[in-house]
Amino acid sequence: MIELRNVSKSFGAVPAVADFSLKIESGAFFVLAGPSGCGKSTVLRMINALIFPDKGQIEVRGQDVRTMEPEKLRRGIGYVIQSAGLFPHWTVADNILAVPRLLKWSPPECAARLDALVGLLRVDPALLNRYPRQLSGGQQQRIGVARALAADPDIVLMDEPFAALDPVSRLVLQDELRGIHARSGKTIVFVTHDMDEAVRLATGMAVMNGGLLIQAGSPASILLAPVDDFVRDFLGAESLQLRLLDLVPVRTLMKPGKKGATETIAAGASLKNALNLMLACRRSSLGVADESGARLGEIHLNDIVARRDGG
Amino acid sequence: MGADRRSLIAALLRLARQPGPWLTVLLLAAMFLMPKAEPLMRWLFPGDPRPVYTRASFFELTLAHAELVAISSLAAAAIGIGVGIFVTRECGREFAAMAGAIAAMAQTFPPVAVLALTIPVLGYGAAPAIAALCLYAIFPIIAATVTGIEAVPATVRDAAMGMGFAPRDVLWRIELPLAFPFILAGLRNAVIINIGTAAIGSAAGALSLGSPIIEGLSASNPAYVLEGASIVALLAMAVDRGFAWLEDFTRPGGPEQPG
Ligand SMILES: Nc1ncnc2c1ncn2[C@@H]1O[C@H](COP(=O)(O)OP(=O)(O)OP(=O)(O)O)[C@@H](O)[C@H]1O
Ligand SMILES: [Mg+2]
Repeated sequence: MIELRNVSKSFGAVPAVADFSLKIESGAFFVLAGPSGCGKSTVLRMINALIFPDKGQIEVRGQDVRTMEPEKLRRGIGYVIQSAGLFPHWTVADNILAVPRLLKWSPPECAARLDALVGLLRVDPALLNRYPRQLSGGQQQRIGVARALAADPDIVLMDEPFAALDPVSRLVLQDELRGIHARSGKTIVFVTHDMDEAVRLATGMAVMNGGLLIQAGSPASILLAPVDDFVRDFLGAESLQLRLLDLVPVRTLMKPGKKGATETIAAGASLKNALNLMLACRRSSLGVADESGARLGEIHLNDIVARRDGG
Repeated sequence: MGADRRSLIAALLRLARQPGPWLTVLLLAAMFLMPKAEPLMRWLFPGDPRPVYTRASFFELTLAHAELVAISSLAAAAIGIGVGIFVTRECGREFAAMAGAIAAMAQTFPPVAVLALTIPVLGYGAAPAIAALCLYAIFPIIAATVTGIEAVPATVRDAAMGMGFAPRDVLWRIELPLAFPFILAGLRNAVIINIGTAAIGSAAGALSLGSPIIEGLSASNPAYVLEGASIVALLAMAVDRGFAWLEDFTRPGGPEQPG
């Protein structure tokens, strides 16, 4: 879907990205992680041809970006920039509909799409006629995401879209985005330097440093086998095991059982959530329930502790 | 009916609290009632046999004055905004410093000198006055246009490009609307300066509110100077209020709500 081959880009004498190769499969939720200034935004901006590489090749949907008309390419790729970047002189509704209007959708199509997006991202409809300056930073970012999804692109580039959100809204939006991704099969390239966010969302991820690709793979494979000390430190070695628990749903360690365990947890929650709940209610086992609350079985602390990774 | 009348009165009261309408009324009064002010002028300037300028009506003078200002300001706006846009494009960036320097030089050139230099080319009358005024107004308009376009946040421009706006769309739909308040402020400056400066157009033979001023100066008749100058001042203040209203009116989301 997206492929970068030996791509290099310098700004003046400063190399921002060096000999960077990466393949992002169609339908992936791909997270680019790395410390500030390592070239994440630059990689993203090369994918939608805002910047052209000095060396190397970039293909989107099998076509070299250099051979495409940049405006046309970009209208087919959703883009959320680091600081929302809403148009201050347009209302929220006009902002959201920017790309559909560039694509000359009819007013009824635009109105229908606006309705759908408001529902999808749970935007408060009262915000639609306001101007960006009348919105909080978090609301602006939510609108930034809505705007990127407006024309229903099959590729969405997101540059730290949730950076300005409080932890709770952040979790909510992460969930919504994961849901949208799961339902739509879009390819999402997501930049963050928050490892918890990376692990929670990614189906594939790459860790960058100083313009270089250090390691790429599934979140689990990177967490389990960091290639060097930089990756280990960046992942936060001290809480590595907890992060791994975040990747595994409760259902995988569930055992049949009906006795005891008054507290229950959803089968889809992570083992980290389960451990947290056990600590909170001082129990070594919990009941497991499905979405409707029907009891499925139980989970034991011993099994979490004894669990071997890589399965 | 009663409610209607009350809201009408409220609206009138609101209007009366603004300086704009008062200035307009004063300006109209000065334009049309100046001949009626002969006793006042006689009292102010005793011993003057003909204390009110009559060679042309003040209405005619004001109209001619406004025409000089309007034509020169429109030309300056077209040139200034055009140059401002050009030097903020990728291809024109290298000309930015030069355009700024030339425009600043034009600004510092005394308008009387511009008149003296253009009269041999354009002849006597309105043309050299318009040329001088135009030259004078370009600089603040270029400066305002460049400031306005450069004040567009990089993130906004980035978002627009990233979503697939063509360069032309970025200019017309993002940069110019966002720069508009700055450009309007620059235009306001230029026009107000021009209203004052246009009086010297009469030195080149153009009809303007400068005509009584210049005649008053050469014939030692201070009454004429006062008459011309007071209308120039009122015109400048009234137009300034007009721009203030326009700035308020064109703000995105309409006029700012008080409080
Ligand atoms: N337009 C530019 N002009 C000059 N240098 C640039 C430009 N854009 C990026 N750089 C430089 O390239 C390097 C990589 O920048 P980039 O924005 O890709 O980093 P990043 O990983 O996105 O960082 P952050 O997490 O802080 O957003 C940095 O050293 C930056 O200073
Ligand atoms: Mg960045």
